[in-house]
Amino acid sequence: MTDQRELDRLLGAFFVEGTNELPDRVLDATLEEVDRTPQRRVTRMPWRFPAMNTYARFVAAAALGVLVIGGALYLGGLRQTGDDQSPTPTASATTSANPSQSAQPHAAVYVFTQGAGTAAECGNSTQGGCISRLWVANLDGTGARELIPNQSGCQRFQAWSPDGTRLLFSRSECRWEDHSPDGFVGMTGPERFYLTDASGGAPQVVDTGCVSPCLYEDDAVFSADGLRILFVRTKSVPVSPSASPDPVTGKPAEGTEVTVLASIDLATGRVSELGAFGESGRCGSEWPRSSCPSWSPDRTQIVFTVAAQIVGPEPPKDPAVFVADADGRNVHQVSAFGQGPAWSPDGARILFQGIQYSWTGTWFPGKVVRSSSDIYTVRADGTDLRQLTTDGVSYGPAWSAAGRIWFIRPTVVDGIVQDDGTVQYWVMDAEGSHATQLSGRPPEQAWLLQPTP
Amino acid sequence: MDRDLVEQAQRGDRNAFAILAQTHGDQLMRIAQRILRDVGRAEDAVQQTLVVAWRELPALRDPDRFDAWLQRLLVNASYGEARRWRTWSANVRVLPVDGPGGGDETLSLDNRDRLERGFRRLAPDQRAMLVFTHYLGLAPAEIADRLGIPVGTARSRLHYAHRAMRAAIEADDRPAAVAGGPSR
Repeated sequence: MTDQRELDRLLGAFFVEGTNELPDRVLDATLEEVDRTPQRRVTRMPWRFPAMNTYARFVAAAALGVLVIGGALYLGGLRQTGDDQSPTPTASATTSANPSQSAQPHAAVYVFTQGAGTAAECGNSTQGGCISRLWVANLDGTGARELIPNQSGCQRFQAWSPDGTRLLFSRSECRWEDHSPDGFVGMTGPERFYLTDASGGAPQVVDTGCVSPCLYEDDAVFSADGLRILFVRTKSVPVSPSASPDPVTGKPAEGTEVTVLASIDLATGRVSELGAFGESGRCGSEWPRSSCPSWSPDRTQIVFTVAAQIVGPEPPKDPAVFVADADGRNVHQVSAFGQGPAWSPDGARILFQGIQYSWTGTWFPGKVVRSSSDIYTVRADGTDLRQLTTDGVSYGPAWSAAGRIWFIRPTVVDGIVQDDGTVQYWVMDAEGSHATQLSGRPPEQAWLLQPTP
Repeated sequence: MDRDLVEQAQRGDRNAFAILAQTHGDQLMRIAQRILRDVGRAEDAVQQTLVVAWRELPALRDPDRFDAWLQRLLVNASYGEARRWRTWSANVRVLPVDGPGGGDETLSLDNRDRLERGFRRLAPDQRAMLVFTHYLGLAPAEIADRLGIPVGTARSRLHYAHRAMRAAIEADDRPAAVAGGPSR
């Protein structure tokens, strides 16, 4: 047993090693950046409330009261005109797996949780890490809870049914990914689709019969009538025994992965492969799911992200957004930067999280790179790009059925993005106006919102 | 001296801020590299920290707390770097760390390897606690003050970080990699 004194000694020695100087090139680049960066303008109150005389306090308090009440009435009026707010925050999300409540729509939250790994799910007890789990909350963001707490493993959101009463997700066992620089818990083994009601009751496997040469299935969505599920199946096509071994690993060639569009009839369980699916449309191994395709409301097109490379010998590339027909043809780029694209309910616009990387001067490997994240929309033909937020930290946008936009914004205090789990739900109009913080507090590390249709 | 420079920088004096950046840059780099265990990412975190510090400096109420405020910015930037790396880890390649190869000779190669592996498994906030405790020599109450977290939270993070590191040291050799396909 390593006692505390010995542990202190080892850790002290451990931290002696390392880099001790900030390179001049980084300092120079930083100061160049500072030259281009305006300082925030801070308005300080010219007076302090306690220093005022009694009459002035009374007047100020009355004025403040009028402002607060007026503001509340104004916001209340706004909320009544929209349908993103639950009329009364129901207890349905915080209660029950009672099937009788399953028709009550919920707002779903796809959660990326850090440090929540358990011994059962994430290997031995020395390993912390990240597992993805589904959470739900009321439409005002309150009452967040795990959707199916008694189901182990990693869960990923796939789709809501068109009527918002059922939820499709995928599940697999979790695995500690040990050869990553930081380590994280990924998914392993067969990942299967599950269907549950909106309260998380009685999850059932959707058996798509994915056995060899089928490798895995992903990117599922309900058909517009809710009777079928469309999904993307990845299969392995054997190669010739004489094929050359992998030039990097030296291992024998394992075959080529191809993707096909498939569907399953939920009433009969019959699976049909509908045809080849464009290779460029696959989200592949990108993670989290916010990189993956989204289907148009009429299921004839997909919008997807080609992922970026942010560290390495080549300059970073912003992730780009593309649209293609459902068979993978007619690919065209609609944005040079962005991820997590989603079609508006009316099919007119595409919503995405715009991620942009920037650096100063000439690129070289190891160059300092900055990133920003804001919410954008664009027409499906790539025209009329609109930036809806400008704070540089908003992410996870999703459409509501009424065409408003939900998103996540971390709490910022004194210019510092708080990283203690205090992110917030926000909702705004499709034009980016009337941004309102919802009252509920999301669970730790909420990553992607998916409001009910 | 720092207070005067901070006040000048708060009023928009870039030269004053440049002196502050030069003065504090090495210390920020030392902390970031030890939290992130990667020189390139540490450079990113330091640059973000200094640019944010410049932008938000007018909002700093107490110039005497500039140093602590800067370290808090740095820790948050390091969290962001760690999260960004984690999120995109399927698409990135590792750059070599160019830190010195020496170090305390009382730390055996075996222990160094175990500590490195154990440390990389920690959440960023636990890493920061260990660096502030064992590298900067701060007590939990001081760390809590600098990072703006409750003392109890600081103690809790330190406890779990110590427990994880102790387990890493005592663990038997584990297989180098887990079988299976790419994570998705």
